[in-house]
Amino acid sequence: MNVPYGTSPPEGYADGKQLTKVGRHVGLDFYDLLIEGDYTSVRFFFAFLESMSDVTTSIALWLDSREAYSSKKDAPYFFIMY
Amino acid sequence: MKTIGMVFVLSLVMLAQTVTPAPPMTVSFSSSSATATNVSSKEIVLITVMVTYKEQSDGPVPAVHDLYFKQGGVPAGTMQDVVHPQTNMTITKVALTYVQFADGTSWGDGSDRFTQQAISRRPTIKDLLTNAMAAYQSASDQGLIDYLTKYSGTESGFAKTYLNMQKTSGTAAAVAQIQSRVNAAQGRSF
Repeated sequence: MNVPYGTSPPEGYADGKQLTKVGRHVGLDFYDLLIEGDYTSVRFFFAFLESMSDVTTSIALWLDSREAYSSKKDAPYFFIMY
Repeated sequence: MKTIGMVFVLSLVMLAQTVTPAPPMTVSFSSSSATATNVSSKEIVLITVMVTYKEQSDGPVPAVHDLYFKQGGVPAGTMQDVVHPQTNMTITKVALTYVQFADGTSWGDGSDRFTQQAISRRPTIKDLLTNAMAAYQSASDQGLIDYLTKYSGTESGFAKTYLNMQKTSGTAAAVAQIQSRVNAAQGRSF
């Protein structure tokens, strides 16, 4: 399912937030949000996104240069640009 | 002597208040999410929090939220999600470390590399968005598509997002989103 932008939440969304497979709200506004991060180091954070194939197409994961973080690859962080 | 002492103590209190102003946001959290409320009188454009998870042994995890390209940012009196729910992590502490206001002033220590990296990326992203609009204005739909395709490699989440948006929701939707962010950035004085 493609997520429309600038429109009402599509079917399956509640209050503009996506329900995960375990029934919890993911507090991300998929209509107005970009996520950046070193996917390798924060993969456990984004694991829930991988299970949501219908919304990941609308999210940009900014894959940071591995070299830039080579000295501390295992340090997870979030960088969210709206 | 007593008066001098009282004046000295009072001066110290005033100095402390000057050096450490009250946080502009109040943070509340549960085991799975956190929000920050803007209790200042100004719009906020960047928030950095350090999140401690029970399962994370490497220390607090930085979370930087940059709303520089969002019109209105976080208005005074409103709430912003600062930790989004995870499926298998338990939050034990959320500490606000830095806030940048829309007027360019700030609160807290923003010297960490995550905050600095967020701020330093803005000019690049602003150029990308501005050039995408120029490409659209000069060559319409195909101009926008060509530009976003050119920059939609691993270095640009923005280009990827808007290219996907153009494909799924049409050029008008993508252009509206890009223009909104260009307008927001152009409205900032820094």
